[in-house]
Amino acid sequence: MKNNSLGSIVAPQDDEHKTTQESHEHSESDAGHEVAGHEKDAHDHDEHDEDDHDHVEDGDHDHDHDHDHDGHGHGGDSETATTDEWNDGVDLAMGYYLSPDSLIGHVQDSDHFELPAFPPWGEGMSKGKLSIPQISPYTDESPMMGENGSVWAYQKNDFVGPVTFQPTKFVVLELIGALIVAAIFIPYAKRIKSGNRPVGRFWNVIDVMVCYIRDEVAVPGIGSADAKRFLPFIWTIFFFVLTLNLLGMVPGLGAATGSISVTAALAISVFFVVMATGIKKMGFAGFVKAQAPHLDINPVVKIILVPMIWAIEVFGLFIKHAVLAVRLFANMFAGHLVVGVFIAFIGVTWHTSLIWGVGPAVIVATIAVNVLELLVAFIQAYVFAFLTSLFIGAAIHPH
Amino acid sequence: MLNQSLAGLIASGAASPPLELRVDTLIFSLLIFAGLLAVLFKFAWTPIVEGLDAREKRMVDDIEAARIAKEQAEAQLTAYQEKMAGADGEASALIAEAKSTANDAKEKIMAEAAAEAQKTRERALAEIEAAKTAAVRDLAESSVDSAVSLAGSIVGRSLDKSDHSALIEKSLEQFTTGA
Repeated sequence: MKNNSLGSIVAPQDDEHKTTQESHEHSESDAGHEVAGHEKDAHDHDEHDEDDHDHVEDGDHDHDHDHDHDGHGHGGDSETATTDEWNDGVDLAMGYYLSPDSLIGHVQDSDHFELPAFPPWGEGMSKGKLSIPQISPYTDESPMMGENGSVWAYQKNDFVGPVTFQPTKFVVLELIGALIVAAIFIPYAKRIKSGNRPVGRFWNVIDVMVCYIRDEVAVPGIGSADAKRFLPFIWTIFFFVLTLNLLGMVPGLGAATGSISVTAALAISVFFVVMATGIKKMGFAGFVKAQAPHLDINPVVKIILVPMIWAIEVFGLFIKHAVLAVRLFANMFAGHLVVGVFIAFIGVTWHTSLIWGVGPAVIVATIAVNVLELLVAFIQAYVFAFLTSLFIGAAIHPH
Repeated sequence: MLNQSLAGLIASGAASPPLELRVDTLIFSLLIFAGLLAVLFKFAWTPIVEGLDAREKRMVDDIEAARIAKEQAEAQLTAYQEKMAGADGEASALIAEAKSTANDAKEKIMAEAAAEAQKTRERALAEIEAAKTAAVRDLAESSVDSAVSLAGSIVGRSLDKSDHSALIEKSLEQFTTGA
């Protein structure tokens, strides 16, 4: 995005940037906005704008770019350099808020929880984190040196080794989710253990969901004769996924199901249950053989077709479990990414007068998307549990 | 400084790409899920299944009991209805019998009353006749006495008792005949 789409920009109250920026009239603006701003000096802004536009259009983010401000005859070199640096900063700020790295960074797994921090730059940024204690700290950190030679940040590189067992935000959220599920269903079990009906709105809602998963997910997918054996697994899958999905809607937390690592773990669990069920039912050889359907065709053709179909079916067995993981991950990740994009618009327009239009629109849009996300949270948990039931049912009753 | 901070923001942090399959997170997830499944299986799902089964059994039993109770109630209702229908006939018979008895009693009482009244009337008439006869006799005797007394004083002859009685009888006869 180009900075000429921003309108006027007010510089942050930084020691090095205690100026306010000029207003722009953007004939070439992407959004076509004309926004008034603050102005400290009566510079020749048109020429500055040209420099800025050229700079942006060239995509040159080099801080040491060479602008010839001496020829303008306005102000000193240091002041012009400060303005240019600020414009570069604006480019970078926009690049930050709307860059894939930044947007995904708020959604993906991390070693810390994000907390509100204002202003969202400078010193405030380092405070907006709640770090998760690490079992084995990162050993590969590269210091990032400032202009004066001081270390101002550390680049944490990839984990060292294939498995380091670092607890991350999503792992913590999974633990929280598991505790929530246990804290709900153990008391619920005590309430209905003797066959009593639950009393109270909350427990009735839980009761309805429990019975719905049993009657509308497990029994149709697995069959009434075998469903009871797999109910605990189906219930755990559904309520654990649902809780993780809903935790993702809490600001400052995150959707653990928006990580392929987490959904893969759940899909692997399903895969093992499906395999174990099929092998227990038919034996290993029987289960392997059952992957190919029975065909009443010419024996010669059958010899050719059956191995091919068998290979496709076995391949499909793996694929459908992988898709189970990807479906949940993609839905949750995409939903939160959309919310992130909307909110990023606030960051981009925060220091412009556009914020008065963009801000309310973003709030409304974010609320609408969150309502949709709430629906998606339930739907995806249902889909995951239902497909799990179908896979188990298919293993018990092959073809 | 701003540029550096923002660049640092992008570069810093131990974030992992969303599509990166992190083995440690996957293993943690498997352990957490397995642990949750084990805990819930023992402390939640098993009691819940038992509770739901017990509730369903209770509901089935209650429905069966309700069905039986309904059948019994219907049978009782039929019996009561039949009884009520019988009671209606019995009541009608009782009422008819009572009416008949009442009519008989009425007629008997009326007849007895009439007979009694007749007897009373006859007795009264007899008494009246007797009283009349006695009164006539007394009157005749008194008249004879007076007449005899008067006649005696006129003729100067005293009538003895036999004459007296003959005169009375004669007077009575004449009185009765004359009357």
